[in-house]
Amino acid sequence: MRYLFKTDYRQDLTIWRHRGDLFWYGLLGVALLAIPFVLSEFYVGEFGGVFIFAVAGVGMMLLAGYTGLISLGNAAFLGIGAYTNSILLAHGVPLLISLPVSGLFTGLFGIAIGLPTLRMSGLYLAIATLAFGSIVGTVFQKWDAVTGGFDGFPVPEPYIFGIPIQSANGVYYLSLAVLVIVLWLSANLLRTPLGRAMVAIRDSEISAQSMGIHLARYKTFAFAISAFITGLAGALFAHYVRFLAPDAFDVLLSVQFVTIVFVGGLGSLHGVIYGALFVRLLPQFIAIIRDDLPFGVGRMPGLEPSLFGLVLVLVILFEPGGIYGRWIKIKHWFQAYPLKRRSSFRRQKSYARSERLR
Amino acid sequence: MSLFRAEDIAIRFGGIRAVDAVSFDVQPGEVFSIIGPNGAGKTTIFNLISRIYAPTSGRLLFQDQDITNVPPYRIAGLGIARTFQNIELFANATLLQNLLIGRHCHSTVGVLSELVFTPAVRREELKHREKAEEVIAFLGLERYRDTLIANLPYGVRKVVELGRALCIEPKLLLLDEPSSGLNVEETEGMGFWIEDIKKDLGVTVIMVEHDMNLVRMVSDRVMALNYGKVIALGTTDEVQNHPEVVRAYIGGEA
Amino acid sequence: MGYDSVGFNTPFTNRTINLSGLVLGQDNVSIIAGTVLLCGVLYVFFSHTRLGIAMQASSQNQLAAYYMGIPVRTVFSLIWAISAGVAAVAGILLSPVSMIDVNMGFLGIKAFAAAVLGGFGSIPGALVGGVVIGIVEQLAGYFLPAGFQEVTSNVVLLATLILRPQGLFAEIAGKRV
Repeated sequence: MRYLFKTDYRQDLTIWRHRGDLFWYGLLGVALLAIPFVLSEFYVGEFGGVFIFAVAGVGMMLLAGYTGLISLGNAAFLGIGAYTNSILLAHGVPLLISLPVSGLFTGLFGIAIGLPTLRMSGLYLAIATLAFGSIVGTVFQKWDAVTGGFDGFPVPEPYIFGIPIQSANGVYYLSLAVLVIVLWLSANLLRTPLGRAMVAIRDSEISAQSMGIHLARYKTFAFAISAFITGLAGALFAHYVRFLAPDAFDVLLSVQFVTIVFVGGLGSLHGVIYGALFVRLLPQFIAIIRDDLPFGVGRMPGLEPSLFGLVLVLVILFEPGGIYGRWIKIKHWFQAYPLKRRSSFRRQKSYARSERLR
Repeated sequence: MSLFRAEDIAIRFGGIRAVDAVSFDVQPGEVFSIIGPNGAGKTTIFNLISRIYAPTSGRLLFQDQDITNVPPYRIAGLGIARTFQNIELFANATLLQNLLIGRHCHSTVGVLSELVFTPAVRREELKHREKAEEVIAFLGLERYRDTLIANLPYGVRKVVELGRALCIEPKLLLLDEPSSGLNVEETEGMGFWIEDIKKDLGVTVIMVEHDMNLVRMVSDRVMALNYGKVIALGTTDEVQNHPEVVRAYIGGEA
Repeated sequence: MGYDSVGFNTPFTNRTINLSGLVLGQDNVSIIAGTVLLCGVLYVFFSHTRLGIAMQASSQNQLAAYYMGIPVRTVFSLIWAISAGVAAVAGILLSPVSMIDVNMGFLGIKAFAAAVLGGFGSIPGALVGGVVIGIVEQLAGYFLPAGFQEVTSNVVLLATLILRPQGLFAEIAGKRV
């Protein structure tokens, strides 16, 4: 078992824990770059989808995992990013400009929903974001002139320096690049006062204020950056699906983002990756075993959403740490063997209370 | 010149006057204690000074500057730190992270530089870490540095609360019942720390306390409150033997 | 029946009452009567029976409820059961005027809006909230351009949460430090 002996404050500042981590991440990077040369186009496309959902998951994680603001309206941000990117491309704007601009534009909507909801928390915030998401979804449907309404919006094929991006390989590499950048930004966030302020707001708003943290500013910023990142994911999503339909960005998609964050492991960036893998690969898995399921269960409509819901409930009940939490426990078990104990990870019972008077 | 002065501050919650025309001033470098039975309005005064509540009348002056309408997140930057009676630490963060959050008001880099982690941000982070380590050394918290607050015993959490307030490098420190929940030895230890804070760090302390031994040990002056009003103000002996104070604590004919 | 919608016939369908010149469909009146009756029953249940008060206690402070001997898990299961039952009754009341179909559940979002407007924790409030939202929706459909009617309930929901989060009838206490 390795014991990490720290001799310098700088060691606490790095994104990786130690040199060994760097080696493994490097190996992972090389493997990811090589995948399009090894796997068939279908799988490359699927992995592209995983990366896109991982980016959206990071946006959700920053909001829910780090600032404690649960949002059921992030699908709206995805949609705004997707439509903005497609509309800009249709007007001839090059991809390298339209991508960040869609992100920034979506960020503005993040501010628009963040400011009025400053005093809300928990359940009320979730409902408010749900309402916001519904309103934006309806705007997508009704505003035919701009979004094409129910006729849909075909996404133009973009080029970066002459290389077409619409193919599966193009989407794969582009999403991987964006994912790496977004992960780097988030990791930076977490080791600076900004990230700590967000954690402080999650744990105790009153003492955060006494420490000098301007609640309104940081909460709005959390929404803005979450919307920015989800907008980027949306812009990539447009290239992944190639044809935008307004009812794709509904509350069920938002629930998928929440699932990514909870199933993967709330509060860690690793968790986002595991969650995105789970959420994107589960439908494929269902498709494969669908015909083998007994009692014609496989032919029921709504099998996917119900399975998502079931997994979400099971994870919250039995393994709140998510996939990453379970991985940490397994790693710890192996590292501490034969001194492993069940009680190392015993959860404390907690009791609910509400602030309602009547 | 007093470091802090409250002039006739009052606050009402509906019909209840939680704090009623209270005036006092605190000299730099002294330890000023506020005592009184439960519900007398002591913590409410702290909440008024930290601006969590807004007074319905009266003025608060810190270093001759009117802070009555300053928003709560500016108070730390002015040099006023506080601890909370029921420990409002950040439970899901480590002790070190809690102390580093305490350094927040001294952060000078902008949000965008933080996102890309410029070398200036790195230098600042190292500086904050050094200051936090000084506080850890002062309070003897080295072995708990990387433990989550949720896993720490109550006595240690009280000390962390104090440490987090010290990270602000305050001129005025508000301690809300620092000895509640501590046994006799821990209370004595707290008393020694308060003395060290006063002598070595030069910080002025206002303390709300029930434990009269601690009050007697560290305070320069004491103010007694009952039902939101000041009933005595003076040295520890004067206040302790004041008939009003005795009546408030023990009861008697009104 | 799968994906098709089905009609629903009650003893009140297609009959009307004439109240001195005001003609009302009997099924609409039955819906109103049923709702008022249901709300009355629930209100009395929550404020005057021991089980109802136990439910309120468990929601306000779970640990204290355990200490007082309230079987919190049973109470929570019962709450879910009652909630499902009330929703089912709402569905039954709704079906004479709108077809039974698989997507009927999406009405739940408007139910959220009604509950928030009335204030979480107040049953008469939910009733009033529902009435207000129904009226506002109809007015929006009449006065505002096409396409706005659908978003009305969501806009009312957002506006309530922003301007008056405790709704019309409930109260929220802040945290005491």
